[in-house]
Amino acid sequence: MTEDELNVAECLDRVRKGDESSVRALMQHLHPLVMKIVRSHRPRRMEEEDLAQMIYTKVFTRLEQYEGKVPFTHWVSRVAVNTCLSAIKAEASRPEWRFADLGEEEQVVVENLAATTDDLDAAHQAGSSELVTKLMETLSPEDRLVLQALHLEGRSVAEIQEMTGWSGALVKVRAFRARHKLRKALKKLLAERSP
Amino acid sequence: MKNEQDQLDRLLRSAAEARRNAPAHDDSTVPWTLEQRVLASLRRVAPSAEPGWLLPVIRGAFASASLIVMASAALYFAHPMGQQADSAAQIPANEMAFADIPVSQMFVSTP
Repeated sequence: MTEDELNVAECLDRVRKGDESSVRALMQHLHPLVMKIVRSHRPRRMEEEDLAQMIYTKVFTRLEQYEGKVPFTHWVSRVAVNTCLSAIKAEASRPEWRFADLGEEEQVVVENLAATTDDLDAAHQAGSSELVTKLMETLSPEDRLVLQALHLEGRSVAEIQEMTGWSGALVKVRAFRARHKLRKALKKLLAERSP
Repeated sequence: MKNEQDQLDRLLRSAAEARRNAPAHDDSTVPWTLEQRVLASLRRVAPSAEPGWLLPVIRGAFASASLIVMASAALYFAHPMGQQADSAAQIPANEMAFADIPVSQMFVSTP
Protein backbone atom coordinates (compact mmCIF):
# COMPACT_ATOMS: atom_id res chain seq x y z
CA MET A 1 0.00 0.00 0.00
CA THR A 2 1.59 3.33 -1.05
CA GLU A 3 1.17 6.67 0.69
CA ASP A 4 -1.25 7.65 -2.11
CA GLU A 5 -3.51 4.67 -1.59
CA LEU A 6 -3.69 5.39 2.13
CA ASN A 7 -4.15 9.05 2.91
CA VAL A 8 -1.51 9.17 5.63
CA ALA A 9 -2.27 12.72 6.80
CA GLU A 10 -5.97 11.97 7.31
CA CYS A 11 -5.13 8.65 8.92
CA LEU A 12 -2.71 10.36 11.33
CA ASP A 13 -5.41 12.85 12.33
CA ARG A 14 -7.80 10.03 13.14
CA VAL A 15 -5.09 8.15 15.07
CA ARG A 16 -4.46 11.26 17.16
CA LYS A 17 -8.18 11.31 18.01
CA GLY A 18 -7.87 7.71 19.23
CA ASP A 19 -9.47 5.89 16.28
CA GLU A 20 -8.28 2.27 16.54
CA SER A 21 -9.29 1.29 12.99
CA SER A 22 -6.91 3.98 11.70
CA VAL A 23 -4.16 2.59 13.93
CA ARG A 24 -4.76 -0.80 12.29
CA ALA A 25 -4.70 0.70 8.77
CA LEU A 26 -1.47 2.56 9.47
CA MET A 27 0.17 -0.54 10.96
CA GLN A 28 -0.80 -2.48 7.85
CA HIS A 29 0.76 0.27 5.71
CA LEU A 30 4.00 0.37 7.74
CA HIS A 31 4.40 -3.35 8.42
CA PRO A 32 6.71 -4.34 5.49
CA LEU A 33 9.04 -1.40 6.25
CA VAL A 34 9.15 -2.03 10.00
CA MET A 35 9.72 -5.77 9.64
CA LYS A 36 12.53 -5.25 7.13
CA ILE A 37 14.36 -3.03 9.63
CA VAL A 38 13.60 -5.37 12.53
CA ARG A 39 14.99 -8.41 10.68
CA SER A 40 18.17 -6.57 9.71
CA HIS A 41 18.95 -4.95 13.05
CA ARG A 42 17.47 -7.20 15.72
CA PRO A 43 19.51 -8.17 18.78
CA ARG A 44 20.15 -11.92 18.82
CA ARG A 45 18.16 -12.63 21.97
CA MET A 46 15.08 -10.57 21.16
CA GLU A 47 11.97 -11.79 19.36
CA GLU A 48 10.99 -10.00 16.14
CA GLU A 49 7.45 -9.40 17.35
CA ASP A 50 8.62 -7.88 20.66
CA LEU A 51 10.84 -5.42 18.83
CA ALA A 52 8.11 -4.60 16.31
CA GLN A 53 5.69 -3.92 19.17
CA MET A 54 8.19 -1.52 20.78
CA ILE A 55 8.56 0.33 17.48
CA TYR A 56 4.81 0.63 16.79
CA THR A 57 4.12 1.80 20.36
CA LYS A 58 6.83 4.45 20.06
CA VAL A 59 5.51 5.60 16.69
CA PHE A 60 1.91 5.94 17.88
CA THR A 61 2.67 7.51 21.26
CA ARG A 62 5.07 10.08 19.80
CA LEU A 63 3.00 11.17 16.82
CA GLU A 64 2.96 14.77 18.08
CA GLN A 65 6.73 14.86 17.41
CA TYR A 66 6.16 14.23 13.69
CA GLU A 67 6.11 17.66 12.07
CA GLY A 68 5.48 16.54 8.50
CA LYS A 69 8.78 17.94 7.14
CA VAL A 70 9.85 14.52 5.84
CA PRO A 71 7.69 11.69 4.47
CA PHE A 72 6.05 9.73 7.27
CA THR A 73 7.81 6.48 6.27
CA HIS A 74 11.23 8.18 6.67
CA TRP A 75 10.30 9.32 10.16
CA VAL A 76 9.07 5.82 11.05
CA SER A 77 12.25 4.20 9.76
CA ARG A 78 14.33 6.54 11.94
CA VAL A 79 12.24 5.63 14.98
CA ALA A 80 12.60 1.94 14.07
CA VAL A 81 16.38 2.16 13.56
CA ASN A 82 16.89 4.05 16.83
CA THR A 83 14.75 1.52 18.72
CA CYS A 84 16.80 -1.34 17.27
CA LEU A 85 20.08 0.40 18.17
CA SER A 86 18.88 0.94 21.75
CA ALA A 87 17.84 -2.70 22.00
CA ILE A 88 21.25 -3.85 20.75
CA LYS A 89 22.98 -1.53 23.23
CA ALA A 90 20.77 -2.83 26.04
CA GLU A 91 21.82 -6.38 25.23
CA ALA A 92 25.39 -5.22 25.97
CA SER A 93 26.94 -8.28 24.43
CA ARG A 94 30.11 -7.88 22.36
CA PRO A 95 31.58 -11.34 22.23
CA GLU A 96 35.11 -11.90 21.00
CA TRP A 97 35.02 -14.87 18.64
CA ARG A 98 37.91 -17.28 18.35
CA PHE A 99 38.48 -19.74 15.53
CA ALA A 100 37.73 -22.67 17.88
CA ASP A 101 34.34 -21.13 18.81
CA LEU A 102 33.15 -21.11 15.20
CA GLY A 103 30.85 -23.73 13.73
CA GLU A 104 32.12 -26.24 11.20
CA GLU A 105 30.74 -24.36 8.18
CA GLU A 106 32.18 -21.07 9.39
CA GLN A 107 35.60 -22.66 9.88
CA VAL A 108 35.48 -24.00 6.30
CA VAL A 109 34.71 -20.47 5.08
CA VAL A 110 37.73 -19.07 6.94
CA GLU A 111 39.93 -21.82 5.48
CA ASN A 112 38.63 -21.05 1.99
CA LEU A 113 39.30 -17.33 2.36
CA ALA A 114 42.88 -18.11 3.32
CA ALA A 115 43.46 -20.76 0.65
CA THR A 116 42.09 -19.13 -2.49
CA THR A 117 41.52 -15.73 -4.02
CA ASP A 118 38.31 -16.81 -5.79
CA ASP A 119 34.85 -15.86 -4.69
CA LEU A 120 33.26 -18.29 -2.24
CA ASP A 121 30.92 -20.72 -3.94
CA ALA A 122 27.21 -21.01 -3.24
CA ALA A 123 27.70 -23.96 -0.88
CA HIS A 124 29.47 -21.67 1.59
CA GLN A 125 26.90 -18.88 1.59
CA ALA A 126 25.14 -19.98 4.78
CA GLY A 127 28.48 -20.29 6.59
CA SER A 128 29.70 -16.91 5.39
CA SER A 129 26.42 -15.28 6.41
CA GLU A 130 26.70 -16.73 9.92
CA LEU A 131 30.39 -15.77 10.12
CA VAL A 132 29.62 -12.18 9.11
CA THR A 133 26.84 -12.03 11.73
CA LYS A 134 29.30 -13.21 14.40
CA LEU A 135 32.00 -10.78 13.33
CA MET A 136 29.50 -7.92 13.30
CA GLU A 137 28.52 -8.70 16.87
CA THR A 138 31.97 -7.50 17.89
CA LEU A 139 31.19 -4.02 16.49
CA SER A 140 29.20 -1.19 18.04
CA PRO A 141 25.49 -1.10 17.07
CA GLU A 142 26.05 1.97 14.84
CA ASP A 143 29.00 0.38 13.01
CA ARG A 144 27.01 -2.81 12.58
CA LEU A 145 24.07 -0.92 11.11
CA VAL A 146 26.20 0.94 8.57
CA LEU A 147 28.03 -2.16 7.34
CA GLN A 148 24.87 -4.20 7.18
CA ALA A 149 23.02 -1.57 5.18
CA LEU A 150 25.94 -0.83 2.84
CA HIS A 151 27.31 -4.29 2.16
CA LEU A 152 24.55 -6.78 2.93
CA GLU A 153 21.45 -4.85 1.91
CA GLY A 154 23.16 -2.91 -0.87
CA ARG A 155 21.79 0.47 0.25
CA SER A 156 23.37 3.72 -0.88
CA VAL A 157 24.85 6.35 1.46
CA ALA A 158 21.83 8.59 0.71
CA GLU A 159 19.42 5.82 1.72
CA ILE A 160 21.29 5.28 5.00
CA GLN A 161 21.14 9.04 5.60
CA GLU A 162 17.35 8.94 5.15
CA MET A 163 17.02 5.94 7.38
CA THR A 164 19.20 7.18 10.24
CA GLY A 165 19.23 10.96 9.96
CA TRP A 166 23.07 10.94 10.01
CA SER A 167 25.08 13.15 7.64
CA GLY A 168 26.71 11.66 4.55
CA ALA A 169 30.18 12.29 5.96
CA LEU A 170 29.30 10.52 9.21
CA VAL A 171 27.98 7.49 7.32
CA LYS A 172 31.18 7.26 5.25
CA VAL A 173 33.50 7.71 8.23
CA ARG A 174 31.58 5.11 10.24
CA ALA A 175 31.66 2.67 7.33
CA PHE A 176 35.42 3.16 6.91
CA ARG A 177 36.15 2.60 10.59
CA ALA A 178 33.74 -0.33 10.85
CA ARG A 179 35.35 -2.04 7.84
CA HIS A 180 38.76 -1.56 9.47
CA LYS A 181 37.53 -3.20 12.70
CA LEU A 182 35.90 -6.06 10.81
CA ARG A 183 39.09 -6.63 8.80
CA LYS A 184 41.05 -6.79 12.03
CA ALA A 185 38.64 -9.32 13.55
CA LEU A 186 38.80 -11.49 10.43
CA LYS A 187 42.60 -11.28 10.37
CA LYS A 188 42.66 -12.57 13.95
CA LEU A 189 40.51 -15.56 13.00
CA LEU A 190 42.71 -16.31 10.00
CA ALA A 191 45.80 -16.21 12.20
CA GLU A 192 44.26 -18.56 14.78
CA ARG A 193 43.32 -21.33 12.34
CA SER A 194 45.57 -24.37 12.32
CA PRO A 195 48.25 -24.17 9.60
CA MET B 1 46.68 -5.23 3.65
CA LYS B 2 45.24 -5.52 0.13
CA ASN B 3 44.91 -9.25 0.66
CA GLU B 4 43.03 -8.73 3.94
CA GLN B 5 40.69 -6.26 2.28
CA ASP B 6 40.11 -8.71 -0.54
CA GLN B 7 39.28 -11.51 1.92
CA LEU B 8 36.79 -9.29 3.71
CA ASP B 9 35.19 -8.20 0.42
CA ARG B 10 34.76 -11.81 -0.67
CA LEU B 11 33.22 -12.73 2.67
CA LEU B 12 30.80 -9.80 2.57
CA ARG B 13 29.83 -10.55 -1.06
CA SER B 14 29.06 -14.15 -0.18
CA ALA B 15 27.01 -13.12 2.89
CA ALA B 16 25.07 -10.59 0.81
CA GLU B 17 24.36 -13.27 -1.78
CA ALA B 18 23.08 -15.59 0.97
CA ARG B 19 20.79 -12.84 2.12
CA ARG B 20 19.42 -12.28 -1.37
CA ASN B 21 18.78 -16.02 -1.81
CA ALA B 22 17.05 -16.38 1.54
CA PRO B 23 13.31 -17.13 1.32
CA ALA B 24 11.21 -13.97 1.35
CA HIS B 25 9.03 -13.26 4.37
CA ASP B 26 5.38 -12.47 3.88
CA ASP B 27 4.89 -9.13 5.62
CA SER B 28 1.74 -8.18 3.73
CA THR B 29 -0.46 -8.62 6.78
CA VAL B 30 0.15 -7.68 10.39
CA PRO B 31 -0.12 -10.76 12.65
CA TRP B 32 -3.25 -10.57 14.79
CA THR B 33 -1.27 -11.07 18.02
CA LEU B 34 1.05 -8.17 17.22
CA GLU B 35 -1.88 -5.92 16.32
CA GLN B 36 -3.65 -6.72 19.61
CA ARG B 37 -0.48 -6.21 21.65
CA VAL B 38 0.10 -2.78 20.09
CA LEU B 39 -3.53 -1.73 20.59
CA ALA B 40 -3.43 -2.90 24.22
CA SER B 41 -0.24 -0.95 24.92
CA LEU B 42 -1.80 2.16 23.32
CA ARG B 43 -4.93 1.79 25.46
CA ARG B 44 -2.72 1.63 28.57
CA VAL B 45 -0.99 4.93 27.76
CA ALA B 46 -4.14 6.68 26.45
CA PRO B 47 -5.80 9.23 28.78
CA SER B 48 -8.66 7.79 30.90
CA ALA B 49 -12.29 8.04 29.84
CA GLU B 50 -13.27 10.61 32.52
CA PRO B 51 -15.14 13.63 31.13
CA GLY B 52 -12.75 16.43 30.30
CA TRP B 53 -14.55 19.05 32.40
CA LEU B 54 -14.34 17.09 35.66
CA LEU B 55 -10.69 17.69 36.46
CA PRO B 56 -10.82 21.54 36.20
CA VAL B 57 -13.96 21.57 38.38
CA ILE B 58 -12.25 19.45 41.06
CA ARG B 59 -9.17 21.66 40.94
CA GLY B 60 -11.32 24.83 41.21
CA ALA B 61 -13.24 23.46 44.16
CA PHE B 62 -10.07 22.53 46.00
CA ALA B 63 -8.53 25.97 45.34
CA SER B 64 -11.72 27.75 46.56
CA ALA B 65 -11.85 25.65 49.74
CA SER B 66 -8.18 26.41 50.47
CA LEU B 67 -8.82 30.13 49.90
CA ILE B 68 -11.78 30.14 52.28
CA VAL B 69 -9.76 28.39 55.02
CA MET B 70 -6.86 30.84 54.66
CA ALA B 71 -9.16 33.87 54.61
CA SER B 72 -10.96 32.66 57.76
CA ALA B 73 -7.65 32.14 59.56
CA ALA B 74 -6.41 35.57 58.51
CA LEU B 75 -9.63 37.23 59.66
CA TYR B 76 -9.52 35.43 63.00
CA PHE B 77 -6.00 36.58 63.82
CA ALA B 78 -6.26 40.05 62.29
CA HIS B 79 -9.62 41.19 63.63
CA PRO B 80 -9.78 42.16 67.41
CA MET B 81 -13.37 40.94 67.61
CA GLY B 82 -12.20 37.41 67.26
CA GLN B 83 -9.87 37.64 70.22
CA GLN B 84 -12.55 39.50 72.22
CA ALA B 85 -14.94 36.70 71.57
CA ASP B 86 -12.35 34.33 73.01
CA SER B 87 -11.91 36.40 76.14
CA ALA B 88 -15.67 36.69 76.46
CA ALA B 89 -15.79 32.94 76.40
CA GLN B 90 -13.72 32.88 79.59
CA ILE B 91 -16.00 35.35 81.44
CA PRO B 92 -18.36 32.74 82.88
CA ALA B 93 -15.53 31.42 85.06
CA ASN B 94 -14.79 34.96 86.27
CA GLU B 95 -18.44 35.60 86.75
CA MET B 96 -18.64 32.63 89.06
CA ALA B 97 -15.64 33.98 90.93
CA PHE B 98 -17.30 37.38 91.30
CA ALA B 99 -20.51 35.72 92.28
CA ASP B 100 -18.68 33.81 94.97
CA ILE B 101 -17.14 36.91 96.52
CA PRO B 102 -20.24 38.49 98.02
CA VAL B 103 -21.41 35.13 99.25
CA SER B 104 -18.14 34.38 101.02
CA GLN B 105 -17.93 37.96 102.31
CA MET B 106 -21.45 37.59 103.56
CA PHE B 107 -20.47 34.45 105.48
CA VAL B 108 -17.27 36.09 106.74
CA SER B 109 -19.02 39.28 107.80
CA THR B 110 -21.81 37.53 109.67
CA PRO B 111 -20.95 37.09 113.35
